[in-house]
Amino acid sequence: MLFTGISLSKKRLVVLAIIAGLVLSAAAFLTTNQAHAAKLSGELHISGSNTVFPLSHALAKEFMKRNKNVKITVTGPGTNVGIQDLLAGKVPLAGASRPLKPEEKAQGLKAYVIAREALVIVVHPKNKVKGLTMEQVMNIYLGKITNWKDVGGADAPIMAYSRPPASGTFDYFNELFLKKQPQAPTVKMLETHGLNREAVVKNPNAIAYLAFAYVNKKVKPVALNGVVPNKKTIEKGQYPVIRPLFHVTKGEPTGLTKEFLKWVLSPAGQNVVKKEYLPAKKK
Amino acid sequence: MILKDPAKDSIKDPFVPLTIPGALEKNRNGDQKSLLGNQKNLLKGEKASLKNQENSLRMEVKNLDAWYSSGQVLERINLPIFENEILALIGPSGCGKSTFLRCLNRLNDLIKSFRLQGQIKLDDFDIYDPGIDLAILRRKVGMVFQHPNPFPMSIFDNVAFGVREINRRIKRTELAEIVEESLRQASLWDEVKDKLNVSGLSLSGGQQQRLCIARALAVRPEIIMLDEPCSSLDPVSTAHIEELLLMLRADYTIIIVTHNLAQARRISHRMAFFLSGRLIEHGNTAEMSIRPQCEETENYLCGRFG
Amino acid sequence: MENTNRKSVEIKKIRGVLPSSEALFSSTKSQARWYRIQEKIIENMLLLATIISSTAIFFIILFVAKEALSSLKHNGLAFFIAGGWDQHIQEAWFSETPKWDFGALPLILGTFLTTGGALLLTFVLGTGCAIFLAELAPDAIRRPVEAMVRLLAGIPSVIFGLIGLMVVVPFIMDNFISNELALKFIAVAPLDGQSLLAGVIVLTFMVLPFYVTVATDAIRAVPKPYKEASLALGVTQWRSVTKVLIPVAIPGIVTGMILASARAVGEAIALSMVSGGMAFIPDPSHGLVFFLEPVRVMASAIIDNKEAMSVKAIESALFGVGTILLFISILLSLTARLVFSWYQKQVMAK
Ligand SMILES: Nc1ncnc2c1ncn2[C@@H]1O[C@H](COP(=O)(O)OP(=O)(O)O)[C@@H](O)[C@H]1O
Ligand SMILES: [Mg+2]
Repeated sequence: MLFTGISLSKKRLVVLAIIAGLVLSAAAFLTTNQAHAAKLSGELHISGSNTVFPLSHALAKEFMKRNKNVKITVTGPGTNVGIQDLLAGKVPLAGASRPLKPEEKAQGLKAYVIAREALVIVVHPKNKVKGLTMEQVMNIYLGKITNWKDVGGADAPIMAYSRPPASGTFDYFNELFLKKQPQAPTVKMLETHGLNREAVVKNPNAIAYLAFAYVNKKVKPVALNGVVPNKKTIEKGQYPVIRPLFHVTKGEPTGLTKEFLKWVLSPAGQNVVKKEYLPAKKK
Repeated sequence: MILKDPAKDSIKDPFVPLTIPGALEKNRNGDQKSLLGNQKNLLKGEKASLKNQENSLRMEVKNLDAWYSSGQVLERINLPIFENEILALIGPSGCGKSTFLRCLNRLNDLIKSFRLQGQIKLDDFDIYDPGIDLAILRRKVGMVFQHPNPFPMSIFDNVAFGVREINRRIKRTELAEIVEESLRQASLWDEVKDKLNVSGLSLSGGQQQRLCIARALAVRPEIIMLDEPCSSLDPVSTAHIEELLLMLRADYTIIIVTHNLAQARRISHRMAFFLSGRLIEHGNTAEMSIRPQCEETENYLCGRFG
Repeated sequence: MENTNRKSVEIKKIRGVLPSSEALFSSTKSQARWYRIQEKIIENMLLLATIISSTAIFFIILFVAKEALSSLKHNGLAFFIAGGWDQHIQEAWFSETPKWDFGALPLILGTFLTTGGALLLTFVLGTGCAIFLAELAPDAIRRPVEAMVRLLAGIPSVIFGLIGLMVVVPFIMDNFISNELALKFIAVAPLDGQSLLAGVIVLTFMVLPFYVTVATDAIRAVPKPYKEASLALGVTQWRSVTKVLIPVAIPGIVTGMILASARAVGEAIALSMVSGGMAFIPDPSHGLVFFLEPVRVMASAIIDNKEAMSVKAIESALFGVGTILLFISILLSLTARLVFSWYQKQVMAK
């Protein structure tokens, strides 16, 4: 998914609005049928992490299916933008792909683990390299390894793609892989997971890191420290790079936000999570 | 007067170099095609010789029909045009005079819906032959429009424009000479000689029209067509232009469209009367004024309509 | 006689609708006053609109410049002539203590290179296209092409970015970048097709429709008599277009160029997708590889780093870049005015 700001299809919204209008007027004028008016109604906007975006989107879609009077829009500009939006009171809920910093907690933000997910290293399907160690990945991103032949591949340059420094995913990658050393200046930083994946699809010499949910058939995830990332290894916790994903609120959630969060953490919500991600709680 | 006897001045003549190769190359193949391009002959030799014989045929229009999208506007026009004459086209507006003129230099080719049938000959060459070099045709058959349309350039550049386009390597002194000459011929020189660098658009309407005449003269056409050149001018400017035409007729064939019958009588040798797309009558101006052959002509000349 | 009679009857019929001349005085004073008031209201409303929009612009400039001030003050001239933007962002983002050093030269150059290249291409392609559409094309070709050009103008930039990424970038990579070349330059910059060249090409297609539309209209608006006069002098069609029509259409053409450059300078999304995502300064000493090297433009830098805005130093530096962009656009519109008045003095001296 290359866009970061898809709201749900307009047509559907219009239909929803018409239905809502009909239901409301029915409720107002024909008092007999009050019991049928939906319990939950209102609008909710979710901002935040590009990584969490597809998950929030899927959750919102399912939630709206169950509650016809609720309208949820989701955007994914990035963890930090989302947190700023929260603090500024622009949105009641934001996705985050990193834990809150102490100063953010001090400002009253609360994070809820809604899912866990793997960060996978991907290369072009034609690339012969099957696996890398975390140290090799580090050295690639530090600019110390620049030829695929040094890690068991062809004699070709390694073109490394990364996310902008302020993204939650880069934070995580930086801490876990780079041990907080500065990334080489020859690493390209692309806005979104989607763009990173596209870069790998188009470039046989590319390497990038993606949230597992963004992996598709056009890119090849490589084994990390000998573990191939797939649903099984990730679910069993064998894959070494699994991180939590969050929904963040400012203070205690209320109203629709609260109901939505409650549902997300309920078995019904977690079933949606399980389609692409690991559930919030380890088995 | 450079123009008076081109043969004599041929060495000095700035057009000599360009009348030879470039323009002709396109038309090398085939007799008919090459000859129109072979302007040098026409311009120097033939023109000089033709000049001696009065009334030698220059252009000939045969069975001309013309259509716009709106319908037929010219019908079966047959009209000869003679060397060194002033031919006045008269007739009520909308009768097709402008269309007729624009057929003669193929300017109507620009109009997409325009269609034409028949034959127009210039010195025995069909000007609608596909091999015709339009640039050369139009250099031979110059045109002055009804509404003065100087380019938004300086007065000098207006006159020099066509000359420069014909000979891009022309010397500046030669160019200046031609510009002065042309402006003098158009009797505009005295009025503009101190402000040649001023925009042509800053002149009055009458001056602009004379500038357009100078511009047309500068490329030394052989035939000059003027489409109601005085229609938007005051009497003084009109008089200027009439004088000019009388002066030019020694060296040019002139076709003038005019609404002004008195003007036609004053300056033309022959008149052609158009009505609703048909050529009703043409002939010697004096004769036609006194004894028109057709009733319509008589009505028109007496001012009964139009 | 009969004829004239009928005419006068008709005229009377028509005139009967008009009130008599006395009516000229009969409309009451209050009505006249009401008209005057109406006029005043409209005048004042227009004035108000002007004042509001100009103050809005003024405050935007003030706001952006104010936010940028701390960074500009700290960095001084270095902000405009020093490099290292990407590293500075990283440092400022991860450092515990505030880091204020920023150099936006790569971004400024990136913007100038992509915009300049795109404008050059746009001028060459667009003017040709405009001449073709306005002068040469038969209707059967002109109509669909014009419709397409107008359609192209309405396509959002993400789409251009996507197509650039899917088509232009791989094309450049497959055709111009060999494995050896990429290997040779891997320590300098990754040559993966996302490049100055890709940026220029995509940007050209983005601004071309604006330019072509304006330039076509400008050429078409040239009074027909100019062209006819030129053709009647025996000047060829082509020379008439270049020597008479184009000069007369210059104000429109310049307007089109300025419109195009305004859009090009401000373009962010498409360029951040195709031009490389790296604040790199292409090196002319690399020869033609210059065009294959990545750039990051100012507008892209702002959106690419928006997530880092929570750091004051980064925010201020981004506003600094915004200030430069703003000044460029002001400069562009001033240039437009200057060109216009110059042109009016030179050519239209009337
Ligand atoms: N470009 C054109 N397209 C369609 N009809 C035209 C065009 N120009 C002239 N006509 C029509 O052709 C007829 C002759 O016009 P024109 O040659 O201008 O007459 P005149 O010059 O005698 O006034 C008129 O009926 C006019 O409406
Ligand atoms: Mg006419």
